[in-house]
Amino acid sequence: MLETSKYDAQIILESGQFFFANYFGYKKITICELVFNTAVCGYQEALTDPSYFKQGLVFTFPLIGIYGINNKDNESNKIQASALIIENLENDFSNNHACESLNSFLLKNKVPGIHNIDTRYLTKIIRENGSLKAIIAPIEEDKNELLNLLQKSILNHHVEELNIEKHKTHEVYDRNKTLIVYDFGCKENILNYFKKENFHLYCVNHHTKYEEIKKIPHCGIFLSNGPGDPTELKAFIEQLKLMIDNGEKLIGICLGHQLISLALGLKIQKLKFGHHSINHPVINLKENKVLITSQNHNYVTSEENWNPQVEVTYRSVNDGTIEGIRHISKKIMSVQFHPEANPGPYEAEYVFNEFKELLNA
Amino acid sequence: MHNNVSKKILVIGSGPIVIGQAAEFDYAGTQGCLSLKEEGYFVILVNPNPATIMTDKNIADTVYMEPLTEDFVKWIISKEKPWGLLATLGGQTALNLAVKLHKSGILDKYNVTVLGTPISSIIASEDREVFRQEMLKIGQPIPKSFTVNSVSQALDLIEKKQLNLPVVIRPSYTLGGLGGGIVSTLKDLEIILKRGLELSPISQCLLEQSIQGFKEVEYEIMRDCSGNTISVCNMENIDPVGVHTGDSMVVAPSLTLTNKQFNMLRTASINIINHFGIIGGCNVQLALDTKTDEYYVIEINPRVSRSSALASKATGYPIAKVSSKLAVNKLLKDIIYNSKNPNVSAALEPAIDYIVTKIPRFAFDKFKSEESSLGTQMQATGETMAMGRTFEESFLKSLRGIENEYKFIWAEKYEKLSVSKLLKLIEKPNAYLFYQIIAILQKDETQLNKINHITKINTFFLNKFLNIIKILKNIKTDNLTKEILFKLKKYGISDYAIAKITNKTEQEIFHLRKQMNVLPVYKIVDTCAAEFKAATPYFYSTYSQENESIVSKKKKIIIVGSGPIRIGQGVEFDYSTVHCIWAIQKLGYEAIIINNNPETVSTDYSVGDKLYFEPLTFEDVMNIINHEQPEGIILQFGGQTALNLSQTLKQENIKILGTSLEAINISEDRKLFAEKMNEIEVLTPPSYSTSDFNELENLATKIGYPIMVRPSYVIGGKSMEIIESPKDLKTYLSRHSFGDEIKTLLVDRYVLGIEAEIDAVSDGTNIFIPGVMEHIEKAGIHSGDSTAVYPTYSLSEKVLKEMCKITLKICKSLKVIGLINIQFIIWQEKIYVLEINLRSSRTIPFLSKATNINIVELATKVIMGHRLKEFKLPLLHKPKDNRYFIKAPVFSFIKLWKVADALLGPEMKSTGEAIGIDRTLEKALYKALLSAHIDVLRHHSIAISVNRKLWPNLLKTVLILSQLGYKIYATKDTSLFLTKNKIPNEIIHKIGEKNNIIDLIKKTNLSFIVNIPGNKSKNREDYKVIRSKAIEKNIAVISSIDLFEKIAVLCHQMKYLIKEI
Repeated sequence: MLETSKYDAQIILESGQFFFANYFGYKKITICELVFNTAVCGYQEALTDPSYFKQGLVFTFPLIGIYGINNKDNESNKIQASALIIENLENDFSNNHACESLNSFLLKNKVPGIHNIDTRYLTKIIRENGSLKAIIAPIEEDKNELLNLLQKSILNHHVEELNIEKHKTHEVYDRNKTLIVYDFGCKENILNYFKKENFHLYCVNHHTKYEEIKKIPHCGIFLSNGPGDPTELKAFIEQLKLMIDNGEKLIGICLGHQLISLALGLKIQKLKFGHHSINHPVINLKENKVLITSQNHNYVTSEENWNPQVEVTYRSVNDGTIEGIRHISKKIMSVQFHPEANPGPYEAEYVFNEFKELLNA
Repeated sequence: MHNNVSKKILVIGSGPIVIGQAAEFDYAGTQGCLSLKEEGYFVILVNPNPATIMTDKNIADTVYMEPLTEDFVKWIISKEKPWGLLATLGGQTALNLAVKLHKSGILDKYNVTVLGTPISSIIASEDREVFRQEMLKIGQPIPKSFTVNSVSQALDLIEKKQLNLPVVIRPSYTLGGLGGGIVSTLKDLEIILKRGLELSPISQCLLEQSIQGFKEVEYEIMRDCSGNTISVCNMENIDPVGVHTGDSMVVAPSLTLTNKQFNMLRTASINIINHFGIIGGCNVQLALDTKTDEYYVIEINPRVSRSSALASKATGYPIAKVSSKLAVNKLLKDIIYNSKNPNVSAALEPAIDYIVTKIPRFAFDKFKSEESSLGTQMQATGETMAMGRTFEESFLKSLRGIENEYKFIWAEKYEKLSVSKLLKLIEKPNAYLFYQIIAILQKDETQLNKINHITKINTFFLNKFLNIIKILKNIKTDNLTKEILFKLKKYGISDYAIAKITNKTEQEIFHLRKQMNVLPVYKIVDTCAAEFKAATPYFYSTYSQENESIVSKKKKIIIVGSGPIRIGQGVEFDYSTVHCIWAIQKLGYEAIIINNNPETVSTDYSVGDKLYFEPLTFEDVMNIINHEQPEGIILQFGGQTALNLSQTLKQENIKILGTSLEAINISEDRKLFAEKMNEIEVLTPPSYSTSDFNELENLATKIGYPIMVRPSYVIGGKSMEIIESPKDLKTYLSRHSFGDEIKTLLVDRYVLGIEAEIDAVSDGTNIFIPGVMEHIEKAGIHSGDSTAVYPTYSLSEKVLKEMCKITLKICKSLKVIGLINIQFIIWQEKIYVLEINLRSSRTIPFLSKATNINIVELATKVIMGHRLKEFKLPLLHKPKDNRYFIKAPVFSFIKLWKVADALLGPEMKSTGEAIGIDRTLEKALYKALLSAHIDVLRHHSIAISVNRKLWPNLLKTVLILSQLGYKIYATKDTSLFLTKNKIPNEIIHKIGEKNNIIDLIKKTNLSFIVNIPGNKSKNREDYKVIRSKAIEKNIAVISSIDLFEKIAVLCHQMKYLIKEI
């Protein structure tokens, strides 16, 4: 307990700052983009959320791992984040659902974690500098070489590298029930909501051409959440424009929302350090009602060059940025926040009803 | 927006402090009143609690310190004609009163709008059965229950699995659940149910699914008039369901819930408060079965509460302030509650990036009771809170601020016991459970699962307790390296503990750390976990990397608060602390406050320039001094807690502003004090002190009985008793086991004269006395439990002058700088000084209200170097108007019935105080007593049992009441005496006989009971039974003949005669 554990890891930020820390999970060198999350619980959901692909997840809550890891709360089949950065690691987990420790979960997934680091300080650096690239490495590695490596690295092609395979829930297609899901790294719970509503899901990836889908009887197209810069998916956006022109019913969440925005001619801008938490108030402009939402995005739909055919449905109460849009005449709507929660509050789950209404209309 | 100024809002306060309704309502009320004023409303406040900041004239626009009864509030309403009524800031008292005013039609009559949550929702959430029905309506689970009339019916329910064991049995129509219980086996079910059915007059029992042992989780929810909601904070009780949340150790946020569990309960909480249409803050308590994820709703509190104060301090989100704005229909998203964090609106759910622990402070040590079991009725008098970045740090910081009879985690009393004995002890939730668990784990780590099984405390917490023990076991004298020290500090191990283990002093460890640069950093409580830039001046210490507490260039003063509220050191000291902070700011300094009590105004970060939410120990205070390098530190407003730091801080050459340590030492050491008084020719009752307890008897004989015995350096007269004979002395010594802390016992001659007290400001040369207070009770009852009258009513000008002279003499000779409180006894024309306190006293707020003088501000100015001459004040302030101000003690015996005896004596027992103001002493006394929940004009009967020594005094008084038509009941001897003196009365028989006191209390509406046993009364136990029965029925017990006399006169003057012609 009290043996002096010397630091065995270091983390170097692209801004040049560095911290000593201790490894847990899988010890390896990793380059990632740092994002912080202020949620107290929900580390399992966040780690397995494909939107965190290639990112180093910093939790601001200083004690992580208390309730362990269970076999119900995964948002995909593995850890998607590149690294986990926390202040204190809890190994004596205790919860009725828990079946293993956070440490062993990372180890199994070959993902490194570091702890014994002032995460509040790190968070403030991210807040001031914007999202930062960082490299995590054993302490004996040469700092300059690591920094060099970091500076040379480029974190892109997120969706491409997720290598999403096509999958479907039903063999029979139905023009009233089949929902095409463009999976850019879709969270499990989004699919669960659709399944609960008895949709037949036909999941495709960003390479899937509109022509291919057209052949399949369906009631609408859903664009999922996912990691990375939406503007990278140029080819897909062109496909999306075709879908819009053809009067497809479109719904989207997070990355899907950004892609719809782009296809509607709107611009996307990068936020300084993004919205990554479960406590963000968002106002439903139509009903003038505030919802507390789960959020996880670095990019946001910009106000510039607005398309008058589009109306804003939701805005962030904190910074006023766009959190949801709807096409005035076409059956297109999308939200930037995560109505499926996990982690986070469930009060936006009615958005799925709105989706359903749109698809059924 | 319309012109709000024309709109008056009446705010009802919570009244005097009792257990379960304490300083948190001053914090909430103060915020609430200011918040409404900020919105442009005119605020009228009713609250008869003098020891509150909220009743200061700069907080509300108009303040009434009148009793919180329907009549008095009705009169205020008819006079002020307010537009709105806000009842959600004043605890249960205010809610109940609002419901009464509504039901009696007063609100309708005067067209008063109830602000915030509608009255119908308040009623629905308060009535258990209505609440149950409402929960069923919206599908929220509540514990299943069935009524049965036979055992077979019950067995059938169990067999059909409609009900599962354990089950709570509540016999119908028996008082206080008499005859009920929790059963976990079929056999017990049969036995207890059979008995319950017999006890129930209608042979009916309610069987309820037991939720004892489930995880108890609370949510503090805000809702605005448009139905927008947020959860400010959730909290997890370390003690499972079964122990009142006020008595539980609590962490925030919840630590052992998964995201899904957390959000399931959050959603339930929001659905519930949406259903009731709550506007403002609401507390929701839930029980989670951690085996099945099923949950049950326990209750909701549709108002600000103790929990909401805790949540506010834990997050930096001021619930009362925001609630008040919501009550006047502002929306969450439009409220910016912290000007230093303008990026965040009230619609953002706070994010916490530290662990908060709250630990309750109990009074069991004070009552020397073996009984310390906890249940669903709250018994804690106060609490401490701490923040840290490991659980251990947070927990241990909170624990070291608790100032109970144990230091750190060690309780010798339990360490001595065997594991099997300890395992037996922890079966019953009790106030010392933590120490018992520690004692078990110290002996045998493998008992952890068994402890979990017995107590149902989550193994996460138990593992943490074990971790603390493991860390301690590894401390060795020779291995205090920088790395090890850092790790120890990271896990919250106090310097005191390290010192104890390594045979060093706390100071040595501090210096070792300083030398090795193992010092804490300070982090900001910013409500958003660093997501947004915030400059909230609210800090906690931790051992980590970045220090966020930037030291300003301004001259600064540190003010130390008074810690958790306990009997003897209550909210009065917070009142003084807050005024000191304001005065320091007015003088142009930066005011830095250190305190660890989440209930108070002083720990509102908007009060001072900087708030350090830290324990009040040498270590923590020195760390801050080391960081801030202040001009000086002020200790005299934080009660004994702060003053106790003077010795060690002085040794570190810290500049303690105000009266010197030498003077304080003299005031606290009986011998030195007596010598000093002798030297300046001030009379004191003959007194001695001794560290040899065997010598006591000789000293007692020398002084002459009766004597008063007490340990030195204690708060509120703990273990203080009046002793009349050598035999009593022996009993006293055998009953008290004085630990290490008590080295000296004090013995005084007990002088039975008129008690009076003075609070004065002194600059060492001149003094200013704002007022002299006279006690109605003669000496022998602790001044905190006495009824104090301002101005004095029986003392001559000559005596007053002499008292002033004595005060000046003492202040000059001790070079007192700041406040002094002197207790006098006037006996046989002579004036004795009983004791002096060189600090702010309990009566400062009362006297400040009565004289309308800001005594603390004046004292602070003097402490900061001003001379009294500058203010051109007389020696003694003359009362301005012809009103009497009376301070009556308020007790919480109904909550402490298991441990406390309502008989008053030299040990303080009251938890709060009420003020009564009127033109005559009697009217003022009536109001003060009424505010203290004693209505002496109600009913027409009293019961008396008084020891024979007092009979001569009794006669006149009883005669008055008898002539007024009061029916007099008296115990045997007293009755015979009254009969002999031709006062009609009825005899109360001994317990066991017919028509005994228990029957009387049951059948008769008694106004009050007079109960004054002699020290040697053979039937002391009977007296005691009478008192405890009276408490059960909430009947006031008068145990002072002097007070009884004044009450009789009061009745004579105020009671109408109801008699046939």
